[in-house]
Amino acid sequence: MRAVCWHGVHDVRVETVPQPRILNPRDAIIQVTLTSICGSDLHLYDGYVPSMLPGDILGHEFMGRVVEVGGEVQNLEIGDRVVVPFPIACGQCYFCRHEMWSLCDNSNPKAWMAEAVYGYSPAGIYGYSHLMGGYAGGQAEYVRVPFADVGPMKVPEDVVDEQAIFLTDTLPTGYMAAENCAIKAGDTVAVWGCGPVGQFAILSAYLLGAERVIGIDTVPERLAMAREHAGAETLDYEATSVVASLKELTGGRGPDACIDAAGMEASHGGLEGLYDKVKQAVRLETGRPHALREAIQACRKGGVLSLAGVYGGVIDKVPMGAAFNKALTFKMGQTHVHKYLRPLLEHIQQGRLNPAFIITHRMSLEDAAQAYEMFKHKEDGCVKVVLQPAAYWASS
Amino acid sequence: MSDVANINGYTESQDRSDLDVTVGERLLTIVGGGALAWYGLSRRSLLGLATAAVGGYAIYRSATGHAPVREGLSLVMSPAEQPMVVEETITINKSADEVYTFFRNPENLVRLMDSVESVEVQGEGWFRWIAEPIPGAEVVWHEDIVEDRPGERIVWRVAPDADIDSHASVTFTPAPGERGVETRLRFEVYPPGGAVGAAVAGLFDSIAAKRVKQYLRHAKQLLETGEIATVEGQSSGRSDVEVECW
Repeated sequence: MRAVCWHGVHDVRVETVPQPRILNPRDAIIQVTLTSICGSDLHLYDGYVPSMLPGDILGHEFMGRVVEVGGEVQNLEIGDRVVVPFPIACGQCYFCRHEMWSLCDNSNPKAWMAEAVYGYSPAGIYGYSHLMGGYAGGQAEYVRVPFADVGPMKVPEDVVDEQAIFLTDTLPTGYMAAENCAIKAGDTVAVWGCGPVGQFAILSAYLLGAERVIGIDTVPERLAMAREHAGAETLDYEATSVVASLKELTGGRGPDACIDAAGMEASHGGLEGLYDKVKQAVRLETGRPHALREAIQACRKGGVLSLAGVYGGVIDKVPMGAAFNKALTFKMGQTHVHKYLRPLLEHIQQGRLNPAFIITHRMSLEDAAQAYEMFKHKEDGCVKVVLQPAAYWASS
Repeated sequence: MSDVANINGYTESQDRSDLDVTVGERLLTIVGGGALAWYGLSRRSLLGLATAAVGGYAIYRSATGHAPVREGLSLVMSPAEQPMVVEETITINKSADEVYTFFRNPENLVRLMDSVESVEVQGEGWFRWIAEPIPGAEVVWHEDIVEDRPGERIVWRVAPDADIDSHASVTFTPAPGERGVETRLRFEVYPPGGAVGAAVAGLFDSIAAKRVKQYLRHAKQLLETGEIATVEGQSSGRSDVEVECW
């Protein structure tokens, strides 16, 4: 089959690799009909996530049809059309039973590695380094899905692939970021980063009752999308002082909740941006947490800081004094996707959410290398790329 | 005392002569011992540890030009007074009785340790273990259960004729707030003394804790999910077999 393989920094190749096969009784094999590139895939592409090996198959956002099931998978049949959550969860451990699916105790075969780095191991994730289990990802024609009796959700025929694909990660990640803000009537929410997750965080914040949502970015088409599709007010961080503007926009109070949808590769100019770029380049820190620092500074007293953008290692110069003395609440983590699949599917079916608007590029899986490069540099107005494996590309 | 474990190749070569090992034999055992020590280190099982220890002994034997075990040197033969201990804990989301029943069945223990081929029940409380960590290097040992308290604790001890005396225990304590069972797996190994003992102790310190934790993880995965999570045998853009990241 064809698959997108990581070979090093800024080096992904579409290669012919062996077909996946059932390795455990609760596995299924999915023929991928649509997959997408996540902003967090760029952290792999840029080499900021350790423990990648040349030849690893990328991709944790994918959907498709079931072509094979293991002996213990009773809920799926050949031909079922499913979306697959990006964290792999067993469904039976303490964490799964308490809806903390991305913290599953049992799905990381290389848990010792994550324990060494994080103290304890979170769930395995498709195509996201050996620290997260070393699972082959879904930017491929076929993918092996472990614990297939727990993760995949059947998609009704009235929901098209371009809507359903975002249930795997992007939409629930934006939603959980907003849910973590514990939004109350009258609240203002500020969102750093108007990429796909930021767009969905804005929509979700409104859905959960926010009075105002302010999106922060500098890429014109992303700011336009946040205004026109998600209904946010917007700030261009290159053109204005974000902290001062947010204070001004909120009558001097500050946003009640701040969402960091940028993560460890946040862009920023000036001396601070240079400081982080140099430190990250020589691996003295693994993130450039500009958005996080600014969000802490901007957040109102007693407010909530919700982190959706991915952090992988160590960051620097986090203003803990501001966070502590303003009594902020921090909420974060990989998304517990399983918990949100059905409620969000219902929002899509009822027309309250139509996530397909974020797609700017539809390409063949064969063109993945070009797609990564374009997405990284935000060329051609690129916000979100979906990739179709060749067989489906030809027939559609 | 029997010969260097029961690894066939070494047993035969040493049985051929009561004299000091020849130069050729020294070369062979250095290479073989090194390979065996490396191999033992690369296996994720306590048995692998034992293999590594035996490999370390083979290196010692060829480096000194003596076969101290054959000569019965007390320096090497008398076990250390203090055991080497490794203990790891994991919480398993099952009842104490379920976890006890799992550990009491030797078939399940084989599934935890990937270099073990089989275990046979031999009469009351006795088990005969067989492993073949490398082709032709079969390792056999006997264990019996010396303490068996359902739902609470099991203690195994290797037969007295083994080269390295050891025992293992597993203890079950209910965790608070219905969080399952705290399962504590403990190995005590009495290594031979002297240089070999020091080598064994070094190996034990560096690898045993990680390995024992892995046994516990496998037990938890089997008990909670019915399978051991794996990526071995999956697809990749590498031409070799799946690289094991140790």
